[in-house]
Amino acid sequence: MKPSLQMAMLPLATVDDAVLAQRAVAGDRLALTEIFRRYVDAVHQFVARLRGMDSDAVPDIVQQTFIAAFAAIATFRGDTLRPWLFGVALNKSRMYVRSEVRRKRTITAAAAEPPLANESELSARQRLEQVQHHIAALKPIHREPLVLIDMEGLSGNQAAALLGIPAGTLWRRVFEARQQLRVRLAGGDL
Amino acid sequence: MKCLASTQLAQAVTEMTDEVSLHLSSCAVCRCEFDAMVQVAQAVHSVVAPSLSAPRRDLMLRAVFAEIDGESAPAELAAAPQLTRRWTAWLRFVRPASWRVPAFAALALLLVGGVWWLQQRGRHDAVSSSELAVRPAPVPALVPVPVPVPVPALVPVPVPVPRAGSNSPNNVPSEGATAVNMPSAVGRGNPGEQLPKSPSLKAVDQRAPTFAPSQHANRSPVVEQESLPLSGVPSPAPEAAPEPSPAPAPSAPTFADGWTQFTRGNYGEAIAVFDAVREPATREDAMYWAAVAAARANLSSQASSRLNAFLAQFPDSPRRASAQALLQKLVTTSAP
Repeated sequence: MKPSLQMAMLPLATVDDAVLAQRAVAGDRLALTEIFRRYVDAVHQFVARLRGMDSDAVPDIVQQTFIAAFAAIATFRGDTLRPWLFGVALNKSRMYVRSEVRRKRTITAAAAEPPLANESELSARQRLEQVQHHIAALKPIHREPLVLIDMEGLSGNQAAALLGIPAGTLWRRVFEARQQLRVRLAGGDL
Repeated sequence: MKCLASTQLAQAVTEMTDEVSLHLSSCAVCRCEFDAMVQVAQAVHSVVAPSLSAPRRDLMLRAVFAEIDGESAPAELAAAPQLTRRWTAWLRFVRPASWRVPAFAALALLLVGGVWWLQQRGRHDAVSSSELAVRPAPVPALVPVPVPVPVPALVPVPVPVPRAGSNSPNNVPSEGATAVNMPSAVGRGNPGEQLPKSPSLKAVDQRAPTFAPSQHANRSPVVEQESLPLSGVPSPAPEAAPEPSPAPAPSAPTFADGWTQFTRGNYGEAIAVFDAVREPATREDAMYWAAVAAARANLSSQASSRLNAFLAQFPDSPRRASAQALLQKLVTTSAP
């Protein structure tokens, strides 16, 4: 049996991302569907964290992410599609932020919220919402590495490659982002 | 012992190395900093983003494939928020290829039609303005026109009066009487023409053939009947003249007809038509412009008599000043 035919006969749920990408490049709609099914939640969560839970824009950005990714699937090089899709989603999110003023208003409103003084009064949900607001209030250069490292669990090299910055710069930004969050969660003002 | 750099601490939270671990076990400051950073990372990691529902996921997949295939998005996505902020978002309305040609053709047709309409409108405006600048107003009552008329010197000729009518130069008839007592062709609308003893009447009669009676044959019967004395037919007695009806006949010439002849330079025709006007509303204007037409036709005596009759019959006319000025000019130029 030829390798290509053998590859085509594999069940899609068991094949790895590289094979899926090859079949997608060959025009296999099922491969594209499998890629979407496999990573749509991850991309959605990633975009939601990047966007600071701005639920209005997240589905749009996710949709545009997959449209752009499927159009450029031939350019994929690697073993796993997840960081590559995150990179596409990051670009789409940045494009969206540039063309949207509402984003700045959201950040300003979130940053203007007074921190809760007594931690004992916070329920777990309130605490979670407070963290979300503080993450959303971070600058993009701090929020993006933080989301990639602490939320999505990417390695330093993957995140640095995805952001296009050196590893040292990445970790410095991650450190600064954590410090800012630490101060804000403690009720301080930056 | 030198403390860890910030980048090393940040990396150690997710990618611990033996060197950092060894240092943290011996440095309380770095250990405190590291623990605080771990707490922050855990708090960040605890944030769970909402996931997509299954129907929403299916809709999104269909929308993605529709976008790739260049088709319209599923109808269910119409209510869902879309990333439509691209400058090409309006192309969604003509997304099907079969719609693009008619849509762009209609757009081009609309543009061409709009440009043509604007051109036509501009041309019409230009023509209208030029016409207004050249043509006189259709209603002469609104346009007082000073008439510079080269009037030849008239020689008063004593003429034997063929009949002794009841009219006299100082006798100003009324509107109805004017119509009844006008046996001559050109004097019908002008009481001054009824002055038998006036030397100017002679001049009128002598110049009457210049009114081109042959053209009167095509006019209304009223005009034709009035032009009979011009060709030498004895006019009927004033008492025998039929009483004209106050309302104009359906075929009676209107002021507009006379004005048309006037603007064409057919002053003799214009005088005849003006004299035949029966409409009370335009009677005053008809008399005035008949006098002006006579002046332009170099019929100074006739023009003077017409103006005198006009001033006598319509002393309160807004054209009184113009009539007086024209009359004075006629008298001045005709003086020996």
